[in-house]
Amino acid sequence: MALKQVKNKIISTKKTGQVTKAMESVSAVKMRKSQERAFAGRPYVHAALRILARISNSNEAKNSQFAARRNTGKTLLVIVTSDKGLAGSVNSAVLKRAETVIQNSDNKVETICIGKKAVDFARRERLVVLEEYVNVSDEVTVEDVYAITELVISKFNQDEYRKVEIVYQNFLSTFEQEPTLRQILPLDPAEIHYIMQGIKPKRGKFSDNSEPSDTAITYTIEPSPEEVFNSLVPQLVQIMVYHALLESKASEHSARMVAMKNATDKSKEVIKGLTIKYNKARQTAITAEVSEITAGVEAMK
Amino acid sequence: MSEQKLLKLTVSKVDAPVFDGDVLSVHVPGAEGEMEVLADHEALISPLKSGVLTINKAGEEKVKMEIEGGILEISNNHATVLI
Repeated sequence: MALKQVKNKIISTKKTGQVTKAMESVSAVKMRKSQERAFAGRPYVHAALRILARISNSNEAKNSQFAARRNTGKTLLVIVTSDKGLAGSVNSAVLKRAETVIQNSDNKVETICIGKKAVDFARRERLVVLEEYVNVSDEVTVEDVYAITELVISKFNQDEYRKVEIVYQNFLSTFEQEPTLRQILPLDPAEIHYIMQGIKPKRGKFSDNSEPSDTAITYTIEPSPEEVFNSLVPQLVQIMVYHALLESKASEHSARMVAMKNATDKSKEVIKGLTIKYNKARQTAITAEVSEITAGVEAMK
Repeated sequence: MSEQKLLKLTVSKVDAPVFDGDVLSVHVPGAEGEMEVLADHEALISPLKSGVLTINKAGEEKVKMEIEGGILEISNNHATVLI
């Protein structure tokens, strides 16, 4: 390769490296924030799920419309992804999971998309999209998910759907996230228990809160079980969606930071290789020139 | 003052834990009226309406906080308030 070309390539790689480096630092800050938020929310979600698990074991709850198993109807799938790419495999992993759900489902699947990537996916696959939410802020608040929850519950109450599921990226650690599929409605005690297990991070802060299993508590439910159930369930569904969003944000930023770190490292490696190539080419040119001059001098003798 | 049994109380907001510790009693605005929860209360689940939640810690000043509603759950001498 010509000297000039190699030089240009080095310059452009350097610039790419600078960009990825900047993105890495930005993601690192965002990651820390969203991880803190995800962690801060966990005790709450945990407590909420514990309550839910206990009341869904009671007899009154089993007869409620929110808990009764349905055998017919469509499936409503809530897909949570990020708006932007360049974050490794976070989004593709979630979408792949969504795809399997759709393929394995024997009835019709309709979706609610959160995040641009989910919307794009639904368009590509020609899915029925009930609602799409893009540009969800990094600082998700419970109010943000209010509209989503309202929609989910009202749709579910119309008896059109057999179940409502949510697929999102669960945050395990900075280097590890996994796509997770969970059933929101109808409530299933086994499923709730499973979610509670999944909420605990593998290690570090919050990983050691072991829960005593006390299933045989009979609660006094005031004013009446139905009333409590009807006011609790929407609230808890909202928390589940909110939690999914938080986890997804934390995963996104972590994955992006790692992806950008890899890109920066790779660009350094490429620059190193190219510099060696450049020096070799330059040396060859000089050697050729010198030998030409010496040859010329020899010839003149 | 005689030793009184304490109630373990956890008050938690969606984005942050608010209170976690042992208390003498907690006063909550229940959907069916105000109530005072002491240690060894029976297992109970009840929605809360908007009002003031008062935490009564032993030998300390009462802590008051405004809430807009929530859920109260009590079991095994552990009260959880989600607001």
